[in-house]
Amino acid sequence: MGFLTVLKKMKQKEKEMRILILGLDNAGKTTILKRFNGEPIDTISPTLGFNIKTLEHRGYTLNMWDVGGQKSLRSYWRNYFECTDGLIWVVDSADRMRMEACREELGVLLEEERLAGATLLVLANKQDLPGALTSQEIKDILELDKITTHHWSVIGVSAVTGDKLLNAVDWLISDIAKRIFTLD
Amino acid sequence: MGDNSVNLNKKELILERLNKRNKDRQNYLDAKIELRNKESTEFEGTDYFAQTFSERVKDIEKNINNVHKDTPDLTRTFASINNDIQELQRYLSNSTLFLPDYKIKACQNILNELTAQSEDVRQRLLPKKKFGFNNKKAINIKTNAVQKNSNGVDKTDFVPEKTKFSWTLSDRSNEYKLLVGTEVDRKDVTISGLKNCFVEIRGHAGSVQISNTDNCTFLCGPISRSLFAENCTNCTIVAACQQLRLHSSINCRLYLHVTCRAIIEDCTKIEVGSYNYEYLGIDIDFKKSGLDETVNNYRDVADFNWLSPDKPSPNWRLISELDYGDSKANWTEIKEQFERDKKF
Ligand SMILES: Nc1nc2c(ncn2[C@@H]2O[C@H](COP(=O)(O)OP(=O)(O)OP(=O)(O)O)[C@@H](O)[C@H]2O)c(=O)[nH]1
Ligand SMILES: [Mg+2]
Repeated sequence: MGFLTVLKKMKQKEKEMRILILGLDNAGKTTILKRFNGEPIDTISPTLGFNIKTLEHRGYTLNMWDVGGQKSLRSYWRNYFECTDGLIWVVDSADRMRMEACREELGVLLEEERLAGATLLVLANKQDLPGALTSQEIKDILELDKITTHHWSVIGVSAVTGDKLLNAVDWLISDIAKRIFTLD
Repeated sequence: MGDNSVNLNKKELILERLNKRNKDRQNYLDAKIELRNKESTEFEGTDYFAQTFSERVKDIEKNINNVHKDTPDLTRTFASINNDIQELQRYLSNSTLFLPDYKIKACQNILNELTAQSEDVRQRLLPKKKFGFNNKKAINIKTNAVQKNSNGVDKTDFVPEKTKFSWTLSDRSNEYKLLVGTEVDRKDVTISGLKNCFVEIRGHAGSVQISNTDNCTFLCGPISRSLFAENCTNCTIVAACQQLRLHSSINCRLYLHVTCRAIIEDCTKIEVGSYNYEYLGIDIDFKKSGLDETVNNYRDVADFNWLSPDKPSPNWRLISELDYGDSKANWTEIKEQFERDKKF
């Protein structure tokens, strides 16, 4: 355990944050990660496993984990919970069929002990589509107001246009920073 | 210093030079030693990690392989194995700072593999255990409370009551339906609850969702992003898109132009062929959709229920060359046949 403590200290000094991106399949997780990192978004296939991206942003090192959301992959999600500072829950705001499934899966995550300290950012994605629900509507459907265990925020974004994406991630980072790196 | 002190005697001068050279050399050596030390500690950091990690992996693998059906207290044994996996996961998660992404990825894959292995053995040896998705029963969805509003768009009430979803098409049967132009372009076209219908979508949609349909044909122009279809039986879907996901469907034919990848999950009896829909102006829609017309990966379908790389999935097949006549299907003719059949 001593070794881990040393690493933890190092992590804080280097201002590393571990961010986990989850959500149902087709929500746009990989597209969001690539868009945020300035990579092309037209060559993205459904994720069979997961992607990692380490990037520098606003003086922090972000260790971003994007895990596939197909039903058969969801049982693996728990492998990624450890040491998570921020959870990004991505929602396809135009997906009429699966809002219930979306709410349930998020509910399960929020009860997860290993995610207890994490800040939650809900991205109401695909706002470029005219049929997309607003972030307010997503908030109601997912019953986010009931969450008392995590710092959270919901923001409407579009991974395709990039709209509001940066603001959203900045909110997440500043919330985590307030919690973890307060003494500098 | 002392270079211009002409009054120093020769001996002192030489001594001084010697001293200086010695000092320089010493400095050089010190620097080199320091550099080497630094390199080796850095090396030892990742080396130490790699070694510790692989040793623990071996231990866990051994423990998994040692479990037999008459191992005493199987539940406890699996709990302890899972504990070890989690411990190792924590070790990896805490070490990401000094590991390159590819290394993290490789280690995470190993951990996933271990989880799957242990889960595999557990399922074989222990009777089924449900994981904590226990809040499922608390839902009472009011589906299909259909009401039509003035502009002809179907509305369906869902939980929670106050949010109304509108569908482009819902709850119809035995109909031919053509969606064109502004109904389609850049929109998210949504279709649900159709039976015995023939639907044409001409334009460049932003995305398309299809659910709960039986015995229908869907002909779609180029879709900029994704096509998502769920609970379809005996349906034909003809579409160009970036991604296609087909879930929980049986006995369907897909004629695709897919620029990235099509995937299926919980599906059986799926046949896949190449896109063959045409109408006046489709080339313009292709341009506007942004899809690459030169790339079509329809042959490379991923089945999420079949991850064995060496055996092909039994859940889908390519429409064979023998059926080629059919794959060149004449949709105009098929549509006319549909209209004729409807009359009876
Ligand atoms: N219109 C629109 N489409 C989007 C947006 N974000 C993602 N998409 C599309 O949605 C589809 C799914 O995106 P992905 O990023 O692959 O989704 P994912 O959440 O990573 O899916 P999995 O890997 O299966 O879990 C793709 O066709 C994207 O182009 C968005 O903001 N607007
Ligand atoms: Mg993905």
